[in-house]
Amino acid sequence: MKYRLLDIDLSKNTVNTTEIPRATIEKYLGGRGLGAKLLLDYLPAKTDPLGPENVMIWLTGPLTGSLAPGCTKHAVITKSPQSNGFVDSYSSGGVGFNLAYAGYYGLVVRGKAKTPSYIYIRDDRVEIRDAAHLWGLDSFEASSRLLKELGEAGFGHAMIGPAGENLVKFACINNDFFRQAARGGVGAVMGSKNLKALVVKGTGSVPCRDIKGFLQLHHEKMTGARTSWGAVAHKRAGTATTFDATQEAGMLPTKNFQFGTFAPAAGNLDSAGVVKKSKGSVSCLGCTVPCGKILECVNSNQIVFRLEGPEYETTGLLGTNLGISSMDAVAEANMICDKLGMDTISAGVAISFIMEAFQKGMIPSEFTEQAGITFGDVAGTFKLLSDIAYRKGIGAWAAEGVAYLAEKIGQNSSHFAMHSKGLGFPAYDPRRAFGAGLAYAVSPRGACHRRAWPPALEVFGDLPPYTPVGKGEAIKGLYDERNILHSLVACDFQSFAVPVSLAEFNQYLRLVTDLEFSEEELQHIADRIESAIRLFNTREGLSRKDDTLPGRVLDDPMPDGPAQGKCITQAGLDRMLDDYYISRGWDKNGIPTQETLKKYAIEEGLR
Amino acid sequence: MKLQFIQKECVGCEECSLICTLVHEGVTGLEQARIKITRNYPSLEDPLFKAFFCRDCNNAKCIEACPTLALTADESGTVHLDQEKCDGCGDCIAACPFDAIWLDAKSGKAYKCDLCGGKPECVDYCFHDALKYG
Repeated sequence: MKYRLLDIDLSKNTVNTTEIPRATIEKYLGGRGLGAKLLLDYLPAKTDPLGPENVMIWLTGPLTGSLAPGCTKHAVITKSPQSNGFVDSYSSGGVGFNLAYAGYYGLVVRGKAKTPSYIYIRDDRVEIRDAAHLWGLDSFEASSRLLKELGEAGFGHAMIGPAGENLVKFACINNDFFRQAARGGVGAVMGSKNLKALVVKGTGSVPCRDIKGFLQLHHEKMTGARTSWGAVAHKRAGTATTFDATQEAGMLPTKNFQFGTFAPAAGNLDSAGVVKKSKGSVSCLGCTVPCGKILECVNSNQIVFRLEGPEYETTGLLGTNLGISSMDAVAEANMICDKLGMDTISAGVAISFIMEAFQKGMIPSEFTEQAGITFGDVAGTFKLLSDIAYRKGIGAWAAEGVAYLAEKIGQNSSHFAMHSKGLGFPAYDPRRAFGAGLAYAVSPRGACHRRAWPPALEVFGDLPPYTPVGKGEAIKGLYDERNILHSLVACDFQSFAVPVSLAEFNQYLRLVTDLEFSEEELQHIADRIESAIRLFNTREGLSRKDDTLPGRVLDDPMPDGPAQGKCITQAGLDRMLDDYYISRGWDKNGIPTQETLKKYAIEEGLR
Repeated sequence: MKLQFIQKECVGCEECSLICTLVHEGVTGLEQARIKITRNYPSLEDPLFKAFFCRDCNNAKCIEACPTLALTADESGTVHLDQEKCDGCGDCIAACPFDAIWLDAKSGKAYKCDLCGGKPECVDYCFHDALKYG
């Protein structure tokens, strides 16, 4: 097996192929892990994330394109313009498996094209092509036009919208229309390179070492998914299943995280609401958990439209967190974001902040155009989304992210700017699960629900939610599992919905590839990956001072629901950080010690 | 006995295509699959998914079209493609009303569903019951 990497320099207009040594794969697998290693190699400290010297890396993993469950996604890894640190953003769609079928483990994009361009990959044919005619178009229109031009089915496509072109710090990359590499501003990095799109088609295949063994394990696992609770629930209502849980648990972000429940959303944004409007289910390639729901909604012009989504995070951040309870409205806002190419989570957090700041009379009067936007204002939300993408009025501030907004507005508004490291909170209030607060604070890319799924242990599990005690180790455990999954580039939903354990993924790895790891070795890899990413962020000047949470979840007791009266406190966060750093082998300041770097053979940081 | 597609049950996972390639070619991919699925994106209008596979037509047009007699039907109505006899002219592909025969770029020969010799694996590995054989 060869691990070939395409290396494309947009400034020099060159295309090369390099090979990653097998030893590097054995140390870092692919996706998240390999991305950390490559970023450490490629980027000098303090690289401007939106300068031509930043690199964008699309990566697959050792199981991509095989039939191992949920292994068709890809990771986009770069230095984030939002956090100024490491970012890994993941998406479904055809880019990942087509790269694998074309014979590539990934591609590196460097430099900046002189004029708007797109990258065309069809097996061995790789070209940098003109995209002047696509620049300025929304991501759907641009994709439709480009696919028509290609004149051949089967291309996976990654496309930015106007938000990416305008360097909105939370611009996303749209994949195959309805799937996004959403977080951390990867779309802005693409825009900064004058790169409108990437299209990939691979007509080849990936090998399978033990077909008989594979078929047997796979049949057994997938038969289980016919009746497993998680798979059945996701087939029925998709990620709205989570909505039911967070509403009941009282961790549903409501009106800029002022509350933890939102009664008007019942029957609208929850699983019952989704089922009412659902016209069908859709899976990613080779996945038997069809979490994608095709919803039929009515927009504000009374026109019926369909979309794949909205996902739970979107119903939270563009719904309840804005005081909006109508699925039609959330779906329309979702489509606006997808077409403009913006992360629905970060956009929602920026808008909820503006709503609260207006309510509190903090917004300068110069922003007359958007003045008076309040919670529940659907039309105002639609307009503000567009103003962010095109940087109009207060949208120009919001386009820099919620941290920048709070900085400009001052008046202690950072207290309710819901972010860590500049990245907006996902749809779980950590006052309902203190460990989730730790997971947000220490996440390398900023507040994130995918490193350690917030309800996992403290809502669904037995871990007591309202204490900092025991959270350091527990969150490390969740992180480490995801470190492996996200380096295999396997979807999160397989592990709990099918379910597929880490040991079983390891079995898949042995059956498909020639890579073999013991359980201990996988643990060692997981530890190495997190410390390598931390090393990258350390070089960028990030440390304990950046592992923070906003005052709202530290100091303001939750006013409603089961978590009523609870808040994390700075002392609570400090206790959790101390424990977490110790479990990782990092010093008090959250910096990997020389001993730890040595233990995990992270040579890049050894003195 | 024919392979049948139950459209409303399909979730577009293409497990069928991937399994098909694995059991026939020993690798995983989509190009060489003998059953292919397309998505109606971005309109999402019904039918959301379409399946392309050999229907084993009675009086099959492909058999009629084949100049080298590579395509034949047996007593049960199953249409067989003898790749030895196939010269890759593509007449069968043009004649098939279901777009269910393809030309392999490497071998230059046509390929289509062979029902795995009577036990189609795609049916066994469709965990949403969108494929039936009977």
